[in-house]
Amino acid sequence: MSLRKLIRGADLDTRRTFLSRIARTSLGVGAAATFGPRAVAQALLQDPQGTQGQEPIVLGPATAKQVIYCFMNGGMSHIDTLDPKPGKVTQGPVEAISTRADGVQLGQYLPKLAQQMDKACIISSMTSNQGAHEQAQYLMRTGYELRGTIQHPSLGAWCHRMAGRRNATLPGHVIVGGGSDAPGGGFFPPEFSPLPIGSAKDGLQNAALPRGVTESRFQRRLDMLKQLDQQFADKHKQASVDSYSQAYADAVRLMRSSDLQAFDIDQEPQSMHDAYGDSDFGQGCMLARRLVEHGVRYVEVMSGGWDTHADNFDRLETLTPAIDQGLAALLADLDARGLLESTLVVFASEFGRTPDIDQDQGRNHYPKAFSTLLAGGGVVGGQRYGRTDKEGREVVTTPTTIQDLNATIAHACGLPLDHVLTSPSGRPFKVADKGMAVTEIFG
Amino acid sequence: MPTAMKQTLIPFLMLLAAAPLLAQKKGDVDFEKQILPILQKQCVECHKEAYVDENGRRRRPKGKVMLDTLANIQKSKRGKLFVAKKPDDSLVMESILLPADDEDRMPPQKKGPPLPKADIELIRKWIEQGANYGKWTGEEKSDKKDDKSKGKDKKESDAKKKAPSKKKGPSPLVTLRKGLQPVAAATLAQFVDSPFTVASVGDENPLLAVTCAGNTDEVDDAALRALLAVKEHVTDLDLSRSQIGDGACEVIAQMPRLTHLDLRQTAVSDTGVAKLAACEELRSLNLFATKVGDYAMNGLARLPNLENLYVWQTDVSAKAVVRLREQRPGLRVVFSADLPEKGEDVAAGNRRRR
Repeated sequence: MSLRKLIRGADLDTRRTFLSRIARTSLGVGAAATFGPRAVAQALLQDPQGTQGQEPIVLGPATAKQVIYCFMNGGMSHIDTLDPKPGKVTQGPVEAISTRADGVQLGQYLPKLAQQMDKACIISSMTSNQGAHEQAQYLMRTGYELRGTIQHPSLGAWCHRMAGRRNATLPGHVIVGGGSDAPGGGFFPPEFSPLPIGSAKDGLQNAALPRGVTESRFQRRLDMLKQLDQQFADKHKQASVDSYSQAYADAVRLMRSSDLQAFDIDQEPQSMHDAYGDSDFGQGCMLARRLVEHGVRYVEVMSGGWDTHADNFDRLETLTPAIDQGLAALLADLDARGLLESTLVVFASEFGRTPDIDQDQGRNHYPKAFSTLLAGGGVVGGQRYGRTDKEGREVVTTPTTIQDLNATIAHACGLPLDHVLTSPSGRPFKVADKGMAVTEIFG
Repeated sequence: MPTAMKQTLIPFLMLLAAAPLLAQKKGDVDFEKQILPILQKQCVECHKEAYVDENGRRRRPKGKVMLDTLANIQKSKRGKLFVAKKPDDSLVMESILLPADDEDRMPPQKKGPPLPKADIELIRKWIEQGANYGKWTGEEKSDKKDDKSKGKDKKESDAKKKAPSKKKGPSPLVTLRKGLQPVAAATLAQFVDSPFTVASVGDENPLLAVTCAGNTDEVDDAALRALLAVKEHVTDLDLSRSQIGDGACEVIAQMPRLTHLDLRQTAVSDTGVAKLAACEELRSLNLFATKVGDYAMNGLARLPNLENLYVWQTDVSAKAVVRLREQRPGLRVVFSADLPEKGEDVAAGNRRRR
């Protein structure tokens, strides 16, 4: 690797700076765990922009090395999917079907997921007080309530920052099918912003050299750019300037790496495309699997259209098959490749929908009780954790807040729940604020 | 006919119908011959001791009710399943008497029809007579065949012996770190510009996790030798998609505390994998898309702690997998992908906006 030759050839000062940069971007703050003596760890953490003097992060044991987070945007009706109430008025026309997990039923539009239920755990006792989309989604992504005063980092950014990257060449956090408007890195340094991939089929854009530009010509351009930048960097010694240059360096390294193919789903055989389905979500799940195969820490896959205030049942009939296909394929595929035991798959939505069906055959926002599905990464499959009452109106056992869910994901990844990181403005934050991990669902 | 007559006549007719079933002792219901078959046929499939099924998933007794052994019956629901001489206080009676559309009725509606009236009466009678189990304890008997398992009966008792170690017992992260001094910082520092990322498994545990993701082009058998410096400490090793081959397994075999080994999409074959028999602490071994075949399966059968083995897209045959599963019932062998069939029209769900 030419970079390593560069390091060896450089003088001590450059080596030290380069080391700290690599550690920050590739190993993340997790470098603290790699090196025992605190003096060394502190040096690697130095950041004049306000994280100075913070305690080194001690990661806990992780059952999940990676996370795939599938988000249903709009508030997915839980009674019609993960928490059916057969025989009750609130069930509506959607039937309940049995699954491979004893005693766990799903809505009839999820037959393929039913075949994979032995791998998954449903938390039926989710509860929240956020009933508006923007606020609820923000809480779900960041673990904090939406405020005008600060942009909180998303859970993926926390994971990227605390646990670092497994594959230094690839980004640590990728969002497929959305993400340019979602909270991303928040107040974290820019290197923790997620990479948005608009569509799995298009993959990573602009990653190849333009026509007519050879590798050597490209390198000359980069050298010229570095010369120009160097004057500015010398004059303004700030971490954000370093981050900016680093982002370019990261991009170039990715362009030259064989791991770039991780973003190319055309390399998958037709049988795989068929198994995941030809939908945006299905192809997104397939891309997520590829990224996780190549060591990307946190991948999100977005799906929209779930805000079914009217014609709930017709719309679910149209929408759910794609999700059913993609999610079932993802679980089966990850497991067959030996990746499910170390990859936590999350299937969530910002709230549920009302048990009562209104005159438009719709259901409305209902944060009081809803469901989330978790699989892999140490989660024991084939079970339902927490219960709602017979009609699906109230949570009757083990109420689980959105912060608890985030804490559970963080716990699986070994992220310390009590570790405080301060924002540049000096305010303290934790990965899941006051959330407590649901440890009972782990083996 | 008059109610009084009906009240005596119908039970009498039922007794007549049940006459062939009646025990030799006059009128007393024999638990082992009459009640036990009902429980085994209708109840025990869901209501027995927790166990690990063929896919490695833990199955727990439904509603925390166990009806498979005497000890378990008495343990469940504080002994209220069958209360001697009081059928109305017995929880089992209550459940089987519920109306068909009550969701708590046993057996559950989706599992089958309610118990025949004759059986319900038999159970009631048995309880009234004192719920006497006779000599039956239910221990040492082999479990009823599950629908899912085929011909594994004689191995079930072995499986039960292996399952507890999966359920409870200290984690290897605790047991394997005993007596282990942390690796010196200088030794760890040498990995900074190596293709390996080396880190503690967490909580400042001296045990280490190693991956080479991102530098897989540079990791071959020779490069792996750098890990010999920490061979006593490595418990989790990810060499997936790297350039290693069978030679690397000689290095890996020198890691006595290795519990998780990921060799997927590498060129290892039977020769190399055979050497892994030295890694007795292995819990999970990923050989997906490698060149391994049936021969290696023999050696792997001898690994005492192996829980998960992945051999999809290899040369391992179905026959060898079946044999391995018979030899090691506690071992989960993943041999194929349980992918869903192609859907009809899933592209309809392509909306991204709310």
